[in-house]
Amino acid sequence: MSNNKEAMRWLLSELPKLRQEGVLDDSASESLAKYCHNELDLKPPLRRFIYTLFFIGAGMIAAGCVLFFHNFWYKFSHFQQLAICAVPAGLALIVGLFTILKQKNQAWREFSAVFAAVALGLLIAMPHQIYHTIGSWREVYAVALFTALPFIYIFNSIALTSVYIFMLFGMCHWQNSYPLPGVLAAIGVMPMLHFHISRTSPDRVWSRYLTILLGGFALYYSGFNWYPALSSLALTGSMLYAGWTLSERNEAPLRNPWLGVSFVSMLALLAMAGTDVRFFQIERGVSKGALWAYWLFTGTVLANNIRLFPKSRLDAKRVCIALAVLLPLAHLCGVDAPAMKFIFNIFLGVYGAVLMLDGFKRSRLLTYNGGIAMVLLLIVCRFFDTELSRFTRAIAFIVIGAVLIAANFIFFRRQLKQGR
Amino acid sequence: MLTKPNLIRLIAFTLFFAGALYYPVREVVSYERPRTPPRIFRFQVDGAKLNEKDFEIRPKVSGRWQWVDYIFPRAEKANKLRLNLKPSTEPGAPRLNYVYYPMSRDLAKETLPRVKNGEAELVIKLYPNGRWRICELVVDGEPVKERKLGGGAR
Repeated sequence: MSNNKEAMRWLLSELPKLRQEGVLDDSASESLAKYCHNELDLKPPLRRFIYTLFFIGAGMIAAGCVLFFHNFWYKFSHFQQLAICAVPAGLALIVGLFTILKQKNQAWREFSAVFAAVALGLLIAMPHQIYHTIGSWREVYAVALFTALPFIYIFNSIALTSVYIFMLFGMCHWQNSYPLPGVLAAIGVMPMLHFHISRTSPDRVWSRYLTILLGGFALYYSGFNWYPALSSLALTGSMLYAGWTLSERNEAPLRNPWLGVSFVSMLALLAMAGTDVRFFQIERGVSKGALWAYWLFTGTVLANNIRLFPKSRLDAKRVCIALAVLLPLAHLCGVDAPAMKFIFNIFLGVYGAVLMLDGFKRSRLLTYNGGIAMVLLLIVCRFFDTELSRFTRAIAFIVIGAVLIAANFIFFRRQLKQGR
Repeated sequence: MLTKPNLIRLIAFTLFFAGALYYPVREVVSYERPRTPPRIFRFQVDGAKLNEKDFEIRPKVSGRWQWVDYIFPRAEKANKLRLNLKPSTEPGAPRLNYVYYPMSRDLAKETLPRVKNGEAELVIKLYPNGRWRICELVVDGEPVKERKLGGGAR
């Protein structure tokens, strides 16, 4: 298939030359170009230009309508204003019914879902604007958001899922006073993401990216309440577990964003844990609703992980992730913050060594480099806050550097022997 | 002929769409039904009652709050405005919130839960340079002692 496409591209590039040399006349050249474009599903430049003009024109009409209504808005009576807002909702109803009854394709479903959610959101928000009910804006926002949720599932729409997840961040404004609905809204979209990730859906890679956004939202929204060390490490650890598993299934890095994002987050969290005792600060008197909501979210993430990767091998790398999640509990059992800081320094070193060994044994460069990154991070962090003399630090750096070079050398020789 | 999944989709879409209309319809019915004056706004300027009848707050007209347009031109030479805010307690009446319009939103959030009888007194200091500032706020007989009570330009 790909060879065929390459041949088509080659033929397209050769057409001007063939026409110049008189091998093909103009009409034959044009029909051949048209055939190749259709086969390649490429848009000829003119068609692209027309599409571009169409989108610019549609955007300008939309902007003009907004300006028009803005200019005359206060001259309309309440009922006229409400009727204007009801027009998009009526159209969305017609489009939605048309899509379902005529069994239209996925593009129509995506459009219907987004249109229905936006039109109903507008209709829900407008009475608030018309009657100036200041103070209940958060209620309106939450209602509009929850209204969009069923349309995600009805139309199986990944576009609306994306919009919904971005809109969730609008709830952050009320994270302290209004905790539960935000996290419930996040949990509400998880089955959709789980559905796409667990199947051979064309949107599964995008769903993985959306999961990161969703996790970030939950963490920011309510995860930093009470005991940030535990909540942030639990969520990051869970994502790292999934990332490693996908990586072992030879998923390309760009198709597996979980590994990169969670690994960098884990590095940052462990560096903070090993540097600053305030990382283990426990905040008293936090909202119980926010606390329960967050742990409900993290529990759902863990359950999803177990459902997605039921037969993952339990190796030292994964035990380390479990340890990273469980170690903060020691602080709750009475271990003081300086001791926790010391424990996490040891853990960072051990985790780095475990990753290096694992990468070495299985000849996996990614794991090996991950281990090196951890050890280097530990060295850099401690370089700035240990009170050793400059001479001792210099010797330590030389020794560690030599060990790293030697380890790399052995690793690459082994790779060469195995013919990789 | 509709397939079974599409039939389920059709029913779910129709039901959810109809359900989603409940909220805006409830809001419109709640605000549009006839009632006694929605809120009453009595005010005095430098201790003397300025108007004979109660002033009814209405929503914004052309982007301006009507009571601001109404009061400030009439109190041009005054030093202080003493505003008695007594919103309607009738169920379904618009909330007390925008009586507190001059205050910052955070302060309104602090103050509103304290209102029990729905009465508040607001003293506004007017400056010759055209600015104004809330200098006293008494809610249900108790003064509110936040440092920043709000203000603006006339």
